[in-house]
Amino acid sequence: MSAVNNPFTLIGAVVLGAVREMGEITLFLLSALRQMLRVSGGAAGQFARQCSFVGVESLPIILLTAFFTGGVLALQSFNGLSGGPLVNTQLGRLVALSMLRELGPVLAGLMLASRVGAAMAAELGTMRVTEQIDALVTLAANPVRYLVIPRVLATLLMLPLLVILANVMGIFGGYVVATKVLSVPAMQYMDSTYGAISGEDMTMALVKAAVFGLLVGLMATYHGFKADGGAAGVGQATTRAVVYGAVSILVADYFITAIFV
Amino acid sequence: MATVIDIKNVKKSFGKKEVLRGASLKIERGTTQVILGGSGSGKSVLLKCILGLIEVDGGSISVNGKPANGLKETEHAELMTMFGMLFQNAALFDSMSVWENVAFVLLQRKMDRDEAKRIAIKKLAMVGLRADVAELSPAELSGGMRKRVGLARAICHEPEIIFYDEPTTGLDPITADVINDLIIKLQKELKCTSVVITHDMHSAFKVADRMAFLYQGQFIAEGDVKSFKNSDNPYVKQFVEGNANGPIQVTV
Ligand SMILES: Nc1ncnc2c1ncn2[C@@H]1O[C@H](COP(=O)(O)OP(=O)(O)OP(=O)(O)O)[C@@H](O)[C@H]1O
Ligand SMILES: [Mg+2]
Repeated sequence: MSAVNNPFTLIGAVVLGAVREMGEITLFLLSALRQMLRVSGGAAGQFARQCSFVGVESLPIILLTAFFTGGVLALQSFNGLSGGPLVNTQLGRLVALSMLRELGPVLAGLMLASRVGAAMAAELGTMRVTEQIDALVTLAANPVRYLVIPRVLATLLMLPLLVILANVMGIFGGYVVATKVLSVPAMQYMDSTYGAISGEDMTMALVKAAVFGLLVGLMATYHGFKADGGAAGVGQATTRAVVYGAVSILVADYFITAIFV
Repeated sequence: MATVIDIKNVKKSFGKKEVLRGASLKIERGTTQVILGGSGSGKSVLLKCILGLIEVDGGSISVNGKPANGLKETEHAELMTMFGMLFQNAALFDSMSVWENVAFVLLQRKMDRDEAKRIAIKKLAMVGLRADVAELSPAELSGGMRKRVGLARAICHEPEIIFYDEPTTGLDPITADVINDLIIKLQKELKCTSVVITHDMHSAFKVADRMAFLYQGQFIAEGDVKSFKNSDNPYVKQFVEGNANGPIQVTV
């Protein structure tokens, strides 16, 4: 049997490839962490700019997403409860828990992966293929310190903030739909919401957000840095940054949830 | 004279494509070394190998007697402060203004911004650019202007060794000659060592102290300007004369 036809050889090659890729990403993260200990002046300015790009400029789209997600959650849960007697006491609780524990962090993370991850990978990929990263090296600047750290730090710190706001907005979206469309009494809806939120849920939301933020920044900068082969290479790097970012968020989400439950 | 850069038997392939197949060259302190070679012969790759931007597959490169490959990150950054590099396509940082590009190293060293800008404008003047380009972004420049900004950035921190990858390509003949004079002047004033890649034979003969010819991944000729002008080596002769007929076959 030839190597190509043998399924075990093929699976082996795929697994080896995946392991190598994960190893490389880990090394990249480690080199970034090493550099973090000596962040220089130029990098601080980069960090501020990235925070504004990642945090402030992502706000509208993330809030909009969260609002409608909360609304949909209210509609769906209302159906789930068959519009029955439990609606008044349970609807707020269902919306808040789903939002906090799952949809807030995951959706904000996915939005960030597509909006910010793509932009970062495209920018760094372009810098790579136009030799700007080489130029940084010849000017005795460390590209990891100068380009990667500020971006990864920005996504790591900004996503938890975005998630807090997204959760508030999601709960508000649920409230609007529940009270205006489904005619749930406002007081009871709010009581049910407040009763549901625990410190553990908040911690879970923030842990998820921080991990997802790290993943988005890491995947974007790693794939941007590895780009080669002109415009097509930048396009591929951008696609990879988004796909790997999104998939790694969903995988990490499973494991974090499993640990907390 | 002391050897500054010693390139020994350097090999580099990209996949199956062998680009450098045992290139060896010694570059002496304070001289201007011109490297000639056909398009795609690996001249730019060689410069990047010396700068550690590309890892070599075999052979060794030393700078001032110390190995230049496989350095730790801090040692490599230290080594880079000795070098200035003009990239073939300028490689300007397009998120920064022209003067911030030129003064990049100074700003990294936390020099006061006004002071850094003043120096950047002086360097821009050296490459024939007026002060009003300082605030422009690289995207607003013509190809020749970009090249000159790249040159100003390469020389801004007064490095000991300057690499010029096709410094006059894309410039009008008069500006090209301004750059030739600048290369000569920098070498005289800063006593720096220059390595110039060029296809412009007029410029090559004007700036060179030594010349070397890279062909099929190796240096097949090395010598002073006179030896290249009157070379009997059929390859060098064909290249210098720019003749389509000869031992070097270029497939179109
Ligand atoms: N990063 C890379 N990946 C793959 N191949 C490369 C890479 N860099 C250079 N090459 C190949 O190496 C060869 C030499 O390239 P190089 O840029 O050094 O040529 P050159 O001598 O500078 O040519 P020119 O005079 O046209 O600038 C080319 O065939 C090129 O395709
Ligand atoms: Mg070249």
